[in-house]
Amino acid sequence: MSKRKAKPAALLVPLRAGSRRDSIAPEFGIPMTFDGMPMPMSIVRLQSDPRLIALSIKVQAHVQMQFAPTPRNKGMETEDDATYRTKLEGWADALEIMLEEVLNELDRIKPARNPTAEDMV
Amino acid sequence: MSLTEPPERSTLPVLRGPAPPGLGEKDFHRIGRNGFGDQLNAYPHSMAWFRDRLYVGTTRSNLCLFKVSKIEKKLDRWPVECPDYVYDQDMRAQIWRLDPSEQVPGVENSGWERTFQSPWIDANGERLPRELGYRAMAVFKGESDPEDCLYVATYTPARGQGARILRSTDGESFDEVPMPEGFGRQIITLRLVIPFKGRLFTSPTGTAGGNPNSAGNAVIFCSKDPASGAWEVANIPSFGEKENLGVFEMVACGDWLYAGTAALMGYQIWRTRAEGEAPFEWECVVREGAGRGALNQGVASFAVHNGYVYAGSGIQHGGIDRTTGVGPAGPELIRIHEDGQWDLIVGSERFTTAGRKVPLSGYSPGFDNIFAGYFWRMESHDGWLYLGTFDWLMMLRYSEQTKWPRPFARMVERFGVERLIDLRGGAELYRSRDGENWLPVSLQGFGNAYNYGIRTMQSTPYGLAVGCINPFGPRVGVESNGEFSYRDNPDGGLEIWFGEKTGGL
Repeated sequence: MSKRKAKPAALLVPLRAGSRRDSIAPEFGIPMTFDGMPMPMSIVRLQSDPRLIALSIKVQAHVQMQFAPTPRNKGMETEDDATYRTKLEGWADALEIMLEEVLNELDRIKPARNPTAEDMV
Repeated sequence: MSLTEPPERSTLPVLRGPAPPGLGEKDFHRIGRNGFGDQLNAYPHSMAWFRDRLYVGTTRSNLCLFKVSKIEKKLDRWPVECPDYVYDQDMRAQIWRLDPSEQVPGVENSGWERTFQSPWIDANGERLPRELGYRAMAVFKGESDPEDCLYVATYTPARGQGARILRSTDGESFDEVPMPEGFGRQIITLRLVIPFKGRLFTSPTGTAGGNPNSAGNAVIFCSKDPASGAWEVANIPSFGEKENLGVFEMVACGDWLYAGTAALMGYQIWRTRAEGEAPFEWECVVREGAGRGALNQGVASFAVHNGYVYAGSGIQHGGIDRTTGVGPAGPELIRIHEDGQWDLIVGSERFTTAGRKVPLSGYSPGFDNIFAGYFWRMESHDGWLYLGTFDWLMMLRYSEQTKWPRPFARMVERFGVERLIDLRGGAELYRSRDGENWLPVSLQGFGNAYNYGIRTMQSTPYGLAVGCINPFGPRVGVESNGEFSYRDNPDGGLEIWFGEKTGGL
């Protein structure tokens, strides 16, 4: 099992394309900024459109449901949950080992690919 | 332009009304197991819904066929026990039919009956099956057909009569259709029978001599009446570009018929309205493997969902093509708009001649799984798009470990092959409603790691049928206490799974 290392936060860039992360806004007529991204919505704008009010209520209910205490975070993880979690953790370990070995290999071959000035003499 | 600049925006998918919840793994149950009781049925290579019944065409003992083929291999232990002469076992392809009303809950393989089996032929004194497999099916009504017929594309022995298309009015008796001129014995397999605007389209897929996936010439034939053998050539050879080695996949979407090729520099996707007289006018909408090059070797799957064409890629022979030295590399998924523009959905961010492409799903090739070889089959069902993979992790157990790249070998040495198989062995099934946000349905072949590919899917009025390839029977090679031996495999043979929310099969 490998030791997990803290990764610099700057490297954790969003994976999905930026234009798709805010995709719901144009459907409600939200103006775009100069770089093509949706403008932030004001509370006034939100409350002026019955559709947006209905949507925001739904979103709130959904978020509450998503973050409500579940058997898992109550310490009541089911057997299926535990199996799934163990497998995902194991898979993450395998990928981390793979990354580690690739980096080791790069370190190993680096001198051969980038000869020093002394090597060039 | 840098990689941090925003990509060009594309039109958002149009979702027409609310869709019912998608199918999760718990919504699936197994309706066919152990190759319908005959484990040599390894691939559910074709599937169709015809006259209120589900039909499945099988290919037999694929790993034993692979062993005697001329395809280059790097396995030092063979995964299954095979006879010295492969035709010492019954290799005749079969067609099975499921009658939903005959199913008995809890009784394995109930409701299925074998309706057809390939005949034997005499090939210069050698008794051979006429067909080893049935690689594609379609329901189509030709001009002289009294009603809808079931058309089936075949996979034949190298020393046999060559690939054919079979036709049936009742799903029980199948007649050979006269094939186009030039369809000689060297063409051993077809994987396409595609209806479009009153014609049936096909294209040779493979030739004898170890080329089951390369015809060497991307030529498409079509006929308004296959039963009479009135075939026409639908395109100029290889679309006028010799790098196209074959047409591997086709799909109809709206007014267009799309054809995906296999090419060493990366697949191409062409389309035609098929208007006027053949050969038709075609236009190329995607080149050079969508800008990825050789790693997108062929279009392995097409699907139409919410008006878009989705194309999944693959590298032949399980994601590692030793003949041409391509791979391993995970497959990608793209989406083609009606105007010919395309989006990268799953894959590697890059610049292309069509602009900068960022994977809209956030997934890297293979849905982040380094063992994915192809996106093999997709199907739109009940408002959701389903995608099944081929996964070569199971083959690690048998491969020549001394030939692995060093970091990979070290990783497996530290982690263990069997532990990897236990964690993630088996094909994966994903689903998406909008084509961009994808959820895993099953990550381990529905719980059987020997189900290492999803080759067929069929939407039915009752639910979604999924066909898993499983050639690891009847006796599979396993290592125990440092010794490798073959033992009976209770989990070998193709499996069919069925997903439904309520009622149904």
